[in-house]
Amino acid sequence: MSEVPKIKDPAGPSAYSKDYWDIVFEQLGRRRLFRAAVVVLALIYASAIFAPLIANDRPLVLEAANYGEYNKAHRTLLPAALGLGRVAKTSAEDYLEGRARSSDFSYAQALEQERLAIETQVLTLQNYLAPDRHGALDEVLGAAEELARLGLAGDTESAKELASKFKAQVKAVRADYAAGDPAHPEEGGLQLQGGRTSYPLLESIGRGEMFFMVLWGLLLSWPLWNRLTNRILGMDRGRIRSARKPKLACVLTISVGAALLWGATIGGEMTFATAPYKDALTDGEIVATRVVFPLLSQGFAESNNSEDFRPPTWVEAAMIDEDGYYEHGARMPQPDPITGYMPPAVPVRVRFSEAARNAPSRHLLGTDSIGRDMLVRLLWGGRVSLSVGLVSAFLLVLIGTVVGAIAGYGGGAVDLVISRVIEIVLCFPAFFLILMVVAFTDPDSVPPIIAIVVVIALVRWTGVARLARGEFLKLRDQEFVVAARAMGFSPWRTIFRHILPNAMGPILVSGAFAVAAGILTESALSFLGFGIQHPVPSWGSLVVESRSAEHWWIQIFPGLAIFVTVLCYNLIGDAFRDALDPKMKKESEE
Amino acid sequence: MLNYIIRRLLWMIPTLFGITLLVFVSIRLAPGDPATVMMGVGSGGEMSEGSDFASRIAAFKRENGLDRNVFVQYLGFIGPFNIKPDGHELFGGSGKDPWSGLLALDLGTELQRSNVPILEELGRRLKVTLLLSFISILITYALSIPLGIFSATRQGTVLDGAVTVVLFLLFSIPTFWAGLMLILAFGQSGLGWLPVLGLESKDAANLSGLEALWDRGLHLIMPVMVYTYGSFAYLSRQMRVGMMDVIRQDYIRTARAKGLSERVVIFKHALRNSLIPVVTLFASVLPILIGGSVVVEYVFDIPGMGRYAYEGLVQRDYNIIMATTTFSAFATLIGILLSDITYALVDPRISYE
Repeated sequence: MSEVPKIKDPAGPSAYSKDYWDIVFEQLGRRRLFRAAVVVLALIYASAIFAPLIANDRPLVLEAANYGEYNKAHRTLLPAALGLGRVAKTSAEDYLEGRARSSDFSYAQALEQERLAIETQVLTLQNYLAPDRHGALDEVLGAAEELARLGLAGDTESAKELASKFKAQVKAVRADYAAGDPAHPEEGGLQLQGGRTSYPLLESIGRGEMFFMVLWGLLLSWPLWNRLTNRILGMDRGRIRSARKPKLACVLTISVGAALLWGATIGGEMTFATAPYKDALTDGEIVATRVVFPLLSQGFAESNNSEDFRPPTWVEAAMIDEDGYYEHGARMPQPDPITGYMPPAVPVRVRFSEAARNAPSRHLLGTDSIGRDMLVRLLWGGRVSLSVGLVSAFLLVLIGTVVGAIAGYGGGAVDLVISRVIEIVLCFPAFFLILMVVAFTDPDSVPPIIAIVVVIALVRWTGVARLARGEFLKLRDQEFVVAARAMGFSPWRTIFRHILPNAMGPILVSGAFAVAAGILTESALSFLGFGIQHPVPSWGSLVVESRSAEHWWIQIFPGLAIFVTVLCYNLIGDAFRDALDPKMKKESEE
Repeated sequence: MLNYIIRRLLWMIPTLFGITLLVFVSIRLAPGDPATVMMGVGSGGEMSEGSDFASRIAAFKRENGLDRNVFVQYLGFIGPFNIKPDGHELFGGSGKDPWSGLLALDLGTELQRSNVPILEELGRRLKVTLLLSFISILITYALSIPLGIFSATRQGTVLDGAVTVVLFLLFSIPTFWAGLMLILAFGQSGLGWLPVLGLESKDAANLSGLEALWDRGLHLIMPVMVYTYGSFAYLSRQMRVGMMDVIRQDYIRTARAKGLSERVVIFKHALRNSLIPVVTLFASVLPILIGGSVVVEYVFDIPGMGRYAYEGLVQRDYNIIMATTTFSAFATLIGILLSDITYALVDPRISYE
């Protein structure tokens, strides 16, 4: 940029001229629409990235008395004690003779195994009991150890004696430690305490998800830490400029590092199964002393009885009475005029942590054909739609840039051939072709999401290629490129280090538009039924649930999400283009 | 000029062959085939070896030439030899019906309904789609050119800003969603003003001429709106940019300096040159309309070409898919050629000699 504006900088003479990108970003920062679009997009991406933390059927924190688990341990304790006694009473030789043919345990191993079984049950029981009740159980453990020791020493006589005592001891403990029914405390029995605290939701968050969460956090806090590092660098533009790449590398390294660390410690794998916690909590099988659910406690695959196609619950037509009948609107049941027979209905089951049956917040955006919450599915669906847009745009910009660079820089026959190929690909009716290839791809061998991304990139790269070719043609005879060549740099170095950074502007602009186009294309494909359906939906495939005009909430909201996202990308692309265009700049100054 | 057109038309032939070959091979290599769709395996039919079922599939494939090598099949698609059992003797047929394929202007019959020749059906469907596209293109140009001029001449004003924002909003709406929202708003569930599905009412046969026209018009309103809004937004923006480029030129300044009225400057001097980029966009609007027709016709249940292509894909009917693909590629090529020609017509500096 030859015309560098002189700017008074408060930081003093060390802060000298701004470079091209400084000016571009300054231009962008002045545009209110651009800033709004960036903020909205950041929020949309946040909702997609953090969807598991916002909407999930697993509790974030669970400290609960698991009556099911306690009762199982309680039932198993006596058989385990009997098993240990049996082994300890027999001598090693008799054991080896009598053991099952499939077993290859030695006598010592068998004893240890039986003792371990008792220990496991005891620890489970103790986990839910107050410390003052641990004593009797500790004694059981001690007796079990003694019994195992006697058996190992070959003292069969004492072992026999101790075994019968041990049996009586365990029987007594068993009678004392029976858990009561949490629903009817008056009937007696022990009331359990909350056991160890567990974090089921966090454990279901995978490495990849953690990577994006950290990355998003770092990008969002960029203005903060960027200012800080710049101050450390003494506001010296030269040093700031050379620190750009290390900064980017830092951000990526921190994200990857955090993800790896997470995977090695707490993190697990994403599973698509619905979690059992809510049902167990509702049935009283688990009694929670402390439980924290995410904001929306519905899983994206969790269906609800009697709530199929339920309108948003703030609408009058969504009211359901205790028996599961709609109270208003078209779905109000009509008894048979002659017999008075009412069609049967299943009452709505309000699970633990869910909003009340007719609370406006129960299903803010309604439900789909099997009663899955649309808001939750919308949040999760954003992950698919947004990544399809981003990845397809990235791929097509990559292909387009490389091909265009080769054509523009190479010139001559290379250019002729590539231009010819571009013209032929341009002749394809793009959407039609994408539709056809995706429709004919086997979803079992290639997941539709990958097929869509790849096909979009393979069909749509020509626009970027033409753009890149034009830029390269324009730049390749300029002095700085000639100088680079004269210094003996390799063509690759000349292309990527010297020309590409100067040609990047228009390519980035078309990249922003390509993201928007990718999201639109994917949604149209999914809408036609050829796109993504399982297990996580995309915004387009959510609409497929119903075409009936009665189910307006299913059609309005996912489309709205697509619309807003596409609008933001278009705004950003447009603002970028204006900021890069020197002609426009002058205009705005006029 | 004539030379140029002929050369371009000749160039289209290899391009078209390339496209059809690519499409043909890729859909044949993809899993799933019309025979099983036809026999309903997908819906739970049992398939065991040597059963009547397997032999019926084999017979179906033999009858339609689906058991041949992919490239022989492609040859059959191109023609002019018929490779089916009743086809040309050269390919082991009985010679009853020796000619078929693209070169013989015979695209075969639908695989599922073997009494329906595709060419006829495609013609019927095309009438609908072309009618829609034609109306849409007319409306698009009729609206976007004046709007672009209006916007460019009031550059920087609140009105210009408002127009720009509205165009941006329109440009970002997903096509299928626009259709669904219109149906919600104007269909039975909303205001109830407009019919939602199809091109005519059920009792259209009983209507008199004028009534039938009115009925048809009502049915066309929403599809045409959905067809139009995207290209309208795009073209208006282009027109605005084109006009702004021209207004900045020296000769416009000269015209103003001569004391010509703003009206004459804009409509006599600036308009013609600003039209150049917009006219050439015709080429890119045409394929968008053809591609978009799949979604629009699906939403409004219109029996046009897009809907036909969709049905072909669902039924895995190779013949329908090849016919619709070939035609849309052909239309795109023609669109590009037309825009190049109009380019030369509106801008005398460009010549193809």
